[in-house]
Amino acid sequence: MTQIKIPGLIDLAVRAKQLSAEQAAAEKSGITRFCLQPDSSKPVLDDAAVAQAMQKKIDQYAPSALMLGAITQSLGGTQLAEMAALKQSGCIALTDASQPWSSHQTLKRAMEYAKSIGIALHLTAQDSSLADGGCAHAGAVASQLGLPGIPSSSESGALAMMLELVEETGARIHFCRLSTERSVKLIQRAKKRGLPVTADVSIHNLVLDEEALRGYNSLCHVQPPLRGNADRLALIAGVNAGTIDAITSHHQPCTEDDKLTPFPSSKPGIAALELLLPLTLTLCKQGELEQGAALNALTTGPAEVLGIECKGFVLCNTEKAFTVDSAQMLGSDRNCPYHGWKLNGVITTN
Amino acid sequence: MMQQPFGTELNPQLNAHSELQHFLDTDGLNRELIEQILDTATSFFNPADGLIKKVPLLRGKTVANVFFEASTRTRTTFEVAAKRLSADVLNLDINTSATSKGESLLDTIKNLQAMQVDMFVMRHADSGAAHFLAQHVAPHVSVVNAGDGRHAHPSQALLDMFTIRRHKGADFSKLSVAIIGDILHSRVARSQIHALKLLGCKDIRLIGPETLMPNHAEAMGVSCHHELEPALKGLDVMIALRLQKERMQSALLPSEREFFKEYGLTQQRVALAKPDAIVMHPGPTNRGVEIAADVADGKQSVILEQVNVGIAVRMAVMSICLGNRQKEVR
Repeated sequence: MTQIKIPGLIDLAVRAKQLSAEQAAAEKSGITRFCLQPDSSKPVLDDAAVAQAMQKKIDQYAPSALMLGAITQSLGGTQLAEMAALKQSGCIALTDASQPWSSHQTLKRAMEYAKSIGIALHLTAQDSSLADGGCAHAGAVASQLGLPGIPSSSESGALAMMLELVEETGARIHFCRLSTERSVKLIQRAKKRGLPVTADVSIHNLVLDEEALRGYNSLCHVQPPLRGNADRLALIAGVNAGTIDAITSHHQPCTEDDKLTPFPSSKPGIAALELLLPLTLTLCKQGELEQGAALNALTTGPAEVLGIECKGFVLCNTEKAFTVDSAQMLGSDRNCPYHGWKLNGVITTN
Repeated sequence: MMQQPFGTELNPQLNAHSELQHFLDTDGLNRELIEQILDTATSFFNPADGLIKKVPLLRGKTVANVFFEASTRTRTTFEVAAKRLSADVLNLDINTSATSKGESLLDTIKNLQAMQVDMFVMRHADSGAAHFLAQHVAPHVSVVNAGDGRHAHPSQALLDMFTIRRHKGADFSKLSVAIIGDILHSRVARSQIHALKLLGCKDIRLIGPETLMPNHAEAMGVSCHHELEPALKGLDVMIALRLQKERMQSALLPSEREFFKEYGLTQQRVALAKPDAIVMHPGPTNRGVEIAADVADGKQSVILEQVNVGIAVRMAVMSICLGNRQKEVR
């Protein structure tokens, strides 16, 4: 059976520049709900007034979008944003996006406060002192290319610390964009212990690894970095086992100028919102992802993370092949490394 | 990883006939190309007095030395090399000009290209900057990498190979070579490793503390050693690297004193290598930090010779690249 009917996809991490463009790209991939990062707007989505203004734009241009509010004011990591007001204004969860946490104390208080008002936090684990200005996974490829490395411990160490805080506070935490094998093990253990945690992975960390950086392709500059193949396989196994609840597009539009510089100076990010489903299905076709688990990670998995239902159904031809033409892509920018790739999976109707 | 094309040129330094058109990295060259460069460099020395001749190979061409990072020795030798090739030379110190006003690297280069520059010799703090530039210059313009981040400093590596060949002969397969000190931040070390391997060297030893060693360094086909003295035994060539002072502030090392005590090249330690071993250093040296003054000035040291050779090797690289690059578009 190549034609399947699945619930509308949910993408947990989309950075939008132009809401209508991102909406069109999402629809093409069968995504009927997607979460907007709080730094999609300027000023960032850290108070009720901004949230209300954003909701109006969403109603007009991007009916599939859901708002993620900021945890701290201006995503600064020091003073808490008005979480209750953000929740009442329609934010489905709160996150400081990819901003690293400098104070464990602030993070712990954010968890306690979020728990008391009944909203989940989406956290990215990264110890910026260990990341130390790096731009690539601290592995053999970065060593050869002379790129400053980001060690796996910068993620797994921060994650272990955050899990200790979950243990103590009991806050409902979703961990974003796991990229290392050790992180998968930490989440697996935390879930086994019954902690209220979930996790997602960026599709790019399932498809690509550090080898993609050869030739200094700045389109493959992404955060968290593309890691070693062992990490990639552990993340795939994590999706197949249900340890990782969701696969996201981790959509980050960047302008041509953002990428038209040497690799270390280029802005991290990949725009491939409309390829979320085809990239996932191609990994299934290649026998790496199990289709049932992978489709859950695009639909019911993220729905449970957010505590909502999937919206509608989509029909998909899982076998139909096409060649990616980044010039024809619908999101607000074209920073996509998959140009020319042959992928499987086309939405036939939704 | 999914095996699909990226459309990125992995080795833009070679043209369709596998000839050198840019000089970006020793990785991606082959033995023949390296030997062609070394032989061409040899031809620039006047056999009678050992001095470097002035030749008209780049007459009418313009070479821009674009340095985004400070340099004295490398920039000067590139300038001298270009002038001995009869080229016109532009020296640009970019730290104080365009990019600090927000102009991008590409804008800066395109402006210079409009002034009919034929070759860019560039040093930049970003690894991969020279590859980036080579992919964006006009079809008649060559790029020579004078150092990009931690990645490569291929002209330094080849002048080192020239020096080794002059002292040890053309057969590198029986040589044991050590590179000592801050390998992690060293573009020189990375380029030396690839060049040594391409020339057939089988015993390349990296010596230094774990904090100054790249991750997975063994993947580059070398052995890694944390203890200096046992690793010096049987060496033909010892290359000490410059230790930057800022390494102490980032907790990579306790002090210069301790580094010298553990890893400094002293007369006593040099004596552990073969009696005819040579001592090299890309310069400028920190005497009493990575190398003792009496070793730097001693009879096994070839450090000053390296500077002179640098001019000839850079002349070879510039004339070969620009010759190959422009012969088809002329």
